[in-house]
Amino acid sequence: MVWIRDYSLPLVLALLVHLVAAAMLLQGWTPAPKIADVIKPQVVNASLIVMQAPAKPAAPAPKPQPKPAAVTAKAKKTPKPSATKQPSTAEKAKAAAARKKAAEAEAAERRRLQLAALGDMADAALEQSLERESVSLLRDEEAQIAQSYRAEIYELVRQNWSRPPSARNGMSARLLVELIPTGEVISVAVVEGSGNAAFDQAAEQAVRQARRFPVPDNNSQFERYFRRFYFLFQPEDLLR
Amino acid sequence: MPEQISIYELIVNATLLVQIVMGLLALASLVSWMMIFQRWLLLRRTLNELDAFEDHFWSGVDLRELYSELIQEDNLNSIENLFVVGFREYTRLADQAGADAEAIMQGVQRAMRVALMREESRLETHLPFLATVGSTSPYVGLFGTVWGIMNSFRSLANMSQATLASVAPGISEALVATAMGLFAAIPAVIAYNRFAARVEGLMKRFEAFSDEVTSILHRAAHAQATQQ
Repeated sequence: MVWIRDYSLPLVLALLVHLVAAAMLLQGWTPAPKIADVIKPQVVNASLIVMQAPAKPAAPAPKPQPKPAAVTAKAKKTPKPSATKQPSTAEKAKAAAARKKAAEAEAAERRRLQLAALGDMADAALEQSLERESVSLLRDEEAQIAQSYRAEIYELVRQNWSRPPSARNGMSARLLVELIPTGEVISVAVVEGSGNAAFDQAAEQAVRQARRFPVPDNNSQFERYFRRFYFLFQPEDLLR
Repeated sequence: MPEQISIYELIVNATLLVQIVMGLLALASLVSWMMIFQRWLLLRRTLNELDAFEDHFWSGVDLRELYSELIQEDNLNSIENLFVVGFREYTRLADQAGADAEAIMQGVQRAMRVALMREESRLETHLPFLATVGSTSPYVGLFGTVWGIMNSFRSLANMSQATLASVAPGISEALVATAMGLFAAIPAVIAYNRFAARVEGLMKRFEAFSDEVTSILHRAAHAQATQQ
């Protein structure tokens, strides 16, 4: 048949063109949805440290040389605050406290070392490592408690925040919030504006409307974490 | 946040009329692409045959030999057919006793003109279809779009509060029809212009060739007449 001979190849080519066009259209039509930066779940990673302590006595090497610094660093990294940041003063206080604690631990250690027989070197090292770990564990726990309060504060502010229509992804405003030990807000100030006055004002308003935040009863913790803190507003955070 | 609407959903959820319009346009596009490929292959083949035959013709071959060679073959291509028709007419008329040279040439010219016209119509088939698709499918697409937008605005009238989100899908769906119309029309228009120009070029060469053959036969006819 002449018709089939003449038109079968063109028909196949035409079908091919349309299939390619359709495939390109279906493939490229939906842009990959941009995943907004949401708060990462607060993972409790304390088990990491607890597990190491019993493992140590099982293998009393002559010099176990524990690395408490590394452990603390790891422990600190996991509960990363997403909405709140400590002001430098709190950070300093924290560091000072840490140093003090470390110094105390070291003093105790030195005393113990003097008392202990020279042959018990391995034992002493183990003791030291346990001591340091308990210190870091304690600090870790504190940080976690603070983190849970932070999450509550964050949630409260989020509820109170009405996003202005001019808010865009990529904007961010940093507020400095000061509290009194009952948790009431005494001052809110925009430290770093987003460049959009409405956005900054909405952020400030959200914190003011919350009026009172849940804070830990423990005074030292309050002083360390919640007396003054920064609050970072980002529309992506709230866009779920 | 609402899910991104896929183009598949847009087409499936469109109104029946818009779907019919889309189907028509898809069919028109498919057929016009088929025609484009078919014409393209045909024109290319014709051009190659023309080049090959002209080379052979001007290589100094004896025309009678060429003719008897060609009539043995079953499938003559267009240019060969043109030559065979002209030469056959010439031999038929020249074989008749007392044929006038002018009468012979008139017969040959007429026969070749008929063959040329057949050839032209063969080369130009489907080109009107391409022209039609190229000129009407944007309007058909536009019709689908207008209809879709009419519907989406009419449904908007029943809503107490109008948001962009309630109109946008309807308009987006309707615009698919225009996009399809343009998708069908643009290649058809380009192909039509290109093929029309190529057919014209080919026809000029056919005419030139037929004139050349006529002049050769003219010379031969007059030579024969003076011999008699």
